[in-house]
Amino acid sequence: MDNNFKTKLQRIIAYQDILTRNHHLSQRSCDAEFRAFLDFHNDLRRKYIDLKTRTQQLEIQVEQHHIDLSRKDKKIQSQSETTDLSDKNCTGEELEYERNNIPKVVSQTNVGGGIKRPQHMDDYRDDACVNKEQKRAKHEDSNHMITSPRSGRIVATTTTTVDMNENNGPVVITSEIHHKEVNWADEKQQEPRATSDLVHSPHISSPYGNIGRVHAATTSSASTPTRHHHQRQSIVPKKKVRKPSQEFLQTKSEESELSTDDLFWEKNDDDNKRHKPKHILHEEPEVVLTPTNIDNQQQRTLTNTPQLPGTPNTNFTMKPSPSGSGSVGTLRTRAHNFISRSILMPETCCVCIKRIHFGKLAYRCLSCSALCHMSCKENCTTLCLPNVKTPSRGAIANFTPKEGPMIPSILVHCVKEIEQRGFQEVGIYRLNAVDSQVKALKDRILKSRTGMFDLSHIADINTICGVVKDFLRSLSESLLTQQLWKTFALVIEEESDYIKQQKLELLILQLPKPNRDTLAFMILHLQRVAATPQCRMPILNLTRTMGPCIIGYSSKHVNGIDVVGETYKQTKILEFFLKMSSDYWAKFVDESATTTNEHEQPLTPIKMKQHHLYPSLHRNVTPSAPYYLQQNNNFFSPI
Amino acid sequence: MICLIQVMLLGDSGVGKTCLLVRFKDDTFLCGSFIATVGIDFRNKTIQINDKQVKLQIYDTAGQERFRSVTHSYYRDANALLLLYDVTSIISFNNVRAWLSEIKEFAQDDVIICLIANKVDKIPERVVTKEAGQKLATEYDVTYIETSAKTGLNVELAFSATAECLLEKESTQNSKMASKTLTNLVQLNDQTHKSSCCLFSSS
Repeated sequence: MDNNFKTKLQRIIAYQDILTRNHHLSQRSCDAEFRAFLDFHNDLRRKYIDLKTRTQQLEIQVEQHHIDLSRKDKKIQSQSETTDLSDKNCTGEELEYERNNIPKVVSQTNVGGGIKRPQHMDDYRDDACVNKEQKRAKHEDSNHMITSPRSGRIVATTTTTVDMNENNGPVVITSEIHHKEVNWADEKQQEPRATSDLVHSPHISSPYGNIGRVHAATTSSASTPTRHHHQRQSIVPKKKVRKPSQEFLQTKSEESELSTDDLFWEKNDDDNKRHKPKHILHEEPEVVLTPTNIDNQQQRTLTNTPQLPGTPNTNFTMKPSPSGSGSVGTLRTRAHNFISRSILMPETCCVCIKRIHFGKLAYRCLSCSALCHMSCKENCTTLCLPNVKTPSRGAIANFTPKEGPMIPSILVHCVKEIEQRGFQEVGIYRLNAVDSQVKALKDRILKSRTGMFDLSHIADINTICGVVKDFLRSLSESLLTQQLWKTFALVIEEESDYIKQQKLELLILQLPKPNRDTLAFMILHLQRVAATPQCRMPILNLTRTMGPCIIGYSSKHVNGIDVVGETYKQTKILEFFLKMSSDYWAKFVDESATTTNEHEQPLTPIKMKQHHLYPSLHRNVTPSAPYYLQQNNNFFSPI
Repeated sequence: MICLIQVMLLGDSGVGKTCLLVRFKDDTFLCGSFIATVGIDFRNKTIQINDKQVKLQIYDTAGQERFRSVTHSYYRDANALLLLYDVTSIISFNNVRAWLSEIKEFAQDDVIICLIANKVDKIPERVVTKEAGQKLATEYDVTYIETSAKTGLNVELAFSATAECLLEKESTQNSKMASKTLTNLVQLNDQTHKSSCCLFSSS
């Protein structure tokens, strides 16, 4: 009996246990758990997509670099015997000057940094390797690499790591320059006074100050045969080179061969081989403190933002990477690479719009072919963008440079001008301008051979806006491309903002690079317009006025009824784009074709929020960023 | 029998086409808003003219350049075109010529055109004088009228006079006469010089 009772009791207790457990289980809401699981799942999926696209990008880049490498190898083989291609931008005058000075320069480098430098280089190479490994690791488990000083340094050098393997004279120079720049970044924000031995060199204020330096650097770090070549060449400057290589001719300054020079440049634009010399040209001005460079820095502060004070690590986090990718929305600023030449055909100066007469010396920029009087050089405020031979019509890809952020330079020039003085204008982009003036200005910019991109004398800002609108509208295909337009229109009808966002991001990644970059650039610009209360152009207004230009229609010829329907779609699409985070768009503009863009993660809304908590750690902090952050925080509400 | 009349509002962006329409339709002013129109929009209003019900179908077009080509296809069906410009913006006035030449090209030959100088309440900012406007109107042989969507000056008149002259045109089949009548009607009822209060009680 007693036993029986005991077992019964045990059973009851066990039963109660089960009951309470059941009760507990039922208390926990399966909804919440399921949601958590869903969150987790979505997160994983997003990460997976991110990684997949990144791997694709990386693979493509690796392939490109391989091709590049083999091409350059061939080039070096073929050219090492004939000429020395490291001799850049030297007029006879300078060569003479150098002949007198070269022993001094060499000794300077040997004493100053020559001994240390190789070590640096090794260091640096190690760094790069480590970095690569890090990246790979990071890539695999998708950890965030929070910007450490080390990574900041590496960011500045990624472009060159590949080039360095080639033992190529000039490229070694550039890499070294980057290294220098990084050093500068460490002791940044001092006056642009001399921080390295090189700046002390006596002719630093002359526009050619870099040449002596570059030479010095080459002699100290280039491989021996090159050096011999080099010295011979500089010591006997007037010697005729029997078979000048293309690079040599094209970078060689021309006192006399104006016509051939023009030919060279035009030919070169079509020529893929221009890639390497251009690359070098781009890098040089950044380091040298020529007057134009100082101008350039001022310009940068104009368009750029004052740095956030008191934030840690700003030194390198704010530092644009050497390939010149500016921070969000700032236009890529780069100093002109002016060389002097005498004018045979009268041309117009791009600064003062006056004639440059026959036989006068004038400056021409090697990269953008801007032409100005010797005295106007200091006042030249136009941006230096790669000169593209543009057709009068066609798709966007015909107008963009072949590298860097692929944005048509006409847009960059116009947007720069609008941002400088259009932000006080009520109804900017809405008000019409006189059609004929718009057409004339657009033609002038597109057809200009002498860099007539200075728009400050155009009194009516709406004309410049008109050019932007007209240019975008007259493209043979909408920025969203004919194939994808309908898909975009379908996706925008999606109910949930979250799904819409995801699908749109996928679609945007499918766009060709020129379209994507230009789209991102324009959206960033319009976001700044919308953020300016004086313009009275909130997002709603901008979508209606700019929708037809930026989003366009599914095809060039749509009939009357479809136009009305598609117009509503396009305003919706543009509205959504404008409400997306500016950080998202900035990453397209910022990345340049040559950089391996490991530093930046493809951002997803949730990750972005993490960044927002530490805005100083994120590289692309803009003035307008806080504004958008506020906006976005309530926009990207959790599912 | 209700007579249907199609009227189109044309003009540069920001001259006040939508405001004029809203003033006519609802007798309110879109104060402080600065909102662009999407594509094309239309409203109906029935008014009474000489014991006759007239249904006005008013198309409000967007002033953006892109939509000019779209509005071409609507010109053809329109009975009357109201072309607006902003007296405080010389550019919108200069663009009137471009508009008129486009109208000549695409619209019906006997279409009634009315040139409307809007925003005349902004006297201190006014840059286009009445004389300049009238000169342009006579040059192109169209009717000139000054309105203000903000105060409601002449807004009703612009639409009703247009409707009346269209009715007359239909009965007489003479477009030359009709446009003359319109000009006369406008001159008769122009309220610019009358006191600006109690505008609508008088009409």
